[in-house]
Amino acid sequence: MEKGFSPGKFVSYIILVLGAIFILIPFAWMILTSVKPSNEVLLMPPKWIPTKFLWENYIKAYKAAPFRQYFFNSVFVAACVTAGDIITTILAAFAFSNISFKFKHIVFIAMVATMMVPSEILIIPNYVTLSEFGWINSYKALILPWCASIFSIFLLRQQFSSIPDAYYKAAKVDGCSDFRYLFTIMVPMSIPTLMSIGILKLINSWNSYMWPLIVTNTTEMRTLPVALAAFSTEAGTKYNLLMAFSVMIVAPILIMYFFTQKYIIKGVSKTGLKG
Amino acid sequence: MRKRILTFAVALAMMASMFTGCSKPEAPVAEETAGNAALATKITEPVEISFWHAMSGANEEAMKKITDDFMATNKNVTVTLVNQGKYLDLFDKLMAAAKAGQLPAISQIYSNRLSWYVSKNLVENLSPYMADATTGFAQADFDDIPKMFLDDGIWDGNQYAMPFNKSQMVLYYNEGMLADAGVKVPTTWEEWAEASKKLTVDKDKDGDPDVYGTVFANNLSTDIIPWFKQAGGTTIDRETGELLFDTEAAKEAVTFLNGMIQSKTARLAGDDKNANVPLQQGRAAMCVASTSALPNIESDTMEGITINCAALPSHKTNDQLFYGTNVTVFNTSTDAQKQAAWEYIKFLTNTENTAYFAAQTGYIPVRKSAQGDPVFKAVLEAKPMKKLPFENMDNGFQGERHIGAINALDALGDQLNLVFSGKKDIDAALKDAKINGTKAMEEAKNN
Repeated sequence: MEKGFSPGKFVSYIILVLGAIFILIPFAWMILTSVKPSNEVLLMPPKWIPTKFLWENYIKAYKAAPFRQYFFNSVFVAACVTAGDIITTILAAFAFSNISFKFKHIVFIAMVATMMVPSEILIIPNYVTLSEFGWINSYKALILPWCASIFSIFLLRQQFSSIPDAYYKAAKVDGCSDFRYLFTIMVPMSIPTLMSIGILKLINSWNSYMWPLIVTNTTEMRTLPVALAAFSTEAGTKYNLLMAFSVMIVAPILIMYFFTQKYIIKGVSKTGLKG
Repeated sequence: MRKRILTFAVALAMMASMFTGCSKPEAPVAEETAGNAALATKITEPVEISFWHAMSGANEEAMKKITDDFMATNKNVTVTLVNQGKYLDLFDKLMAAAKAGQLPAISQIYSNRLSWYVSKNLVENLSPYMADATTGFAQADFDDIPKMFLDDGIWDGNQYAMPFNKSQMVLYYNEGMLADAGVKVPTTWEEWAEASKKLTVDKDKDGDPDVYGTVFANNLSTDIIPWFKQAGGTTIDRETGELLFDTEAAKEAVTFLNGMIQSKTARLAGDDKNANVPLQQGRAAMCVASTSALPNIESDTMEGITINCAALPSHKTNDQLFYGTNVTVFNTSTDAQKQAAWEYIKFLTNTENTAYFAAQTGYIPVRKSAQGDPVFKAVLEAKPMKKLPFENMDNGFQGERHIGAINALDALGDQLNLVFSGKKDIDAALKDAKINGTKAMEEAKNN
């Protein structure tokens, strides 16, 4: 039965509306700035609605970099990284949660401890390693180092550990193999967590700037965020073009959010993650 | 068996994620070369060279045009321009490439960064190339390039870099505001402080000016040097590398700047990011910024505002800061590549091309003769502000370039921010800046 008006409901709606406004303001600023003339971008007090809507900013931003090539690279790299990460995560998390082997806990703690090392420190050693492999300026360099994540393994291991051991034992009694148990029982029971892992990985890969810039040397290999640097110089930033380009970069992620929000909400509520 | 396979998969996942393990701790130091006895002055076979840079927009377009012109007349040479993002991205990548032995043939670089590469013997000495009878420089070329620009690329008497995109730190001002207030363009510190006071407007008297007299860049670390020099000091002793942060001259310079900031007749750029932004919008009457900001000022200034520029007001001396990157050749390339790189740099910085680059961008030509170039002559007539750097070259200087100078000056910048925000007194801040800066410099030297 539908409940009518109640003060509690009213307050919750007010809070939700305020929250939505708080989150939407940066998006509104981004979209409005993307069509502003350059001399209206940094006005104080801010001028929200431009005197003239310059849609050609999008054309200028599009032409500032080989957008189609960068877009393809971004999609390809993000898809491969996400798929690779999910596969290694499932296997590793299963091993850490269900298989007994020597030094399991020490290895796990050692891996988790590496999460404390800031990624900036690792850029030069990683570059040197890839350079010795001869992988610089290749998809391998953009994809393979990111196909495993301690954070993802940690997250899925916690989820796998929450599944009662009785399932595993029952499956074993019925002659089920580890692989079959993993992919027919555990993975389907962990879809929300895997979705969260996949979405986080996809967003990280999509937004990655420094790594693609460091390991590539040609426009054929670069990804969309690298193009953002084209709008900044030491003398200032063309914020209107930068925002137009940002809208084009963010749009695919937003569309993905719309289609997968059911899973994201499930994943967030299950894992306690916030996007 | 399957358990073993799974365990093996875990091990693989771990290896992939812990990629960091196998790395070289030390940069490869190039073998000592016995000078550059045999120059490959004639390029008979196709040669490919990469030029790493951090230029974007109109700057990059101008570079592309010059590079295409070079390749049209040097059929055996292919120059690949590689944009490596912003300056700091470029320098990070260069460092990674140096450690991996993957340096490009040519790169844009500041001298204060190049010092490290020179010390590791990774940079080609260009002096023999310049002296070569066939492809080198004539005396007229040496005379044509301002001495401070050439000197910025010289270590131990050898030329390791050539000037490329240079600019000057200047005082931009709103012509209308100065005229309305009956204020002349300041030429001394005293006039400047007075002008800044007169031009500051606080309409509602809330203590937060609507128009500031002067706006400075946010981080006055590497950019503090002109005031130190004008007060009779400097930041780092050129010979010994000693930090001169706590001298009387340093104190005088910081006291002057802080006086304007504490009296709210000047401020740092803050959320405006660049000092020229409030000037362009009528929220500041003057600002200190680079001449490279000129294209932004031309395109983004609000209607009705006319901006002009002048040299920094002087004090005990009239030192004027010039900055910008040089281009260098790394010695990790082949002889043919190094020769091609030199010929490209020579072409990039000849009168016609430096004039073209300066005409298309906010930078200044690196040759005096560019003033007579038809393209740049037309620019000078249309934009008289571009003449200013030529008038100041004789008393111009470039910043410090000791290894670790950036780290030391950053430590100074941190202390200056405490002074400007009223959290620390000048004496204590300068003393701490010297202690922290010396430590930071030592750490950088040991890298």
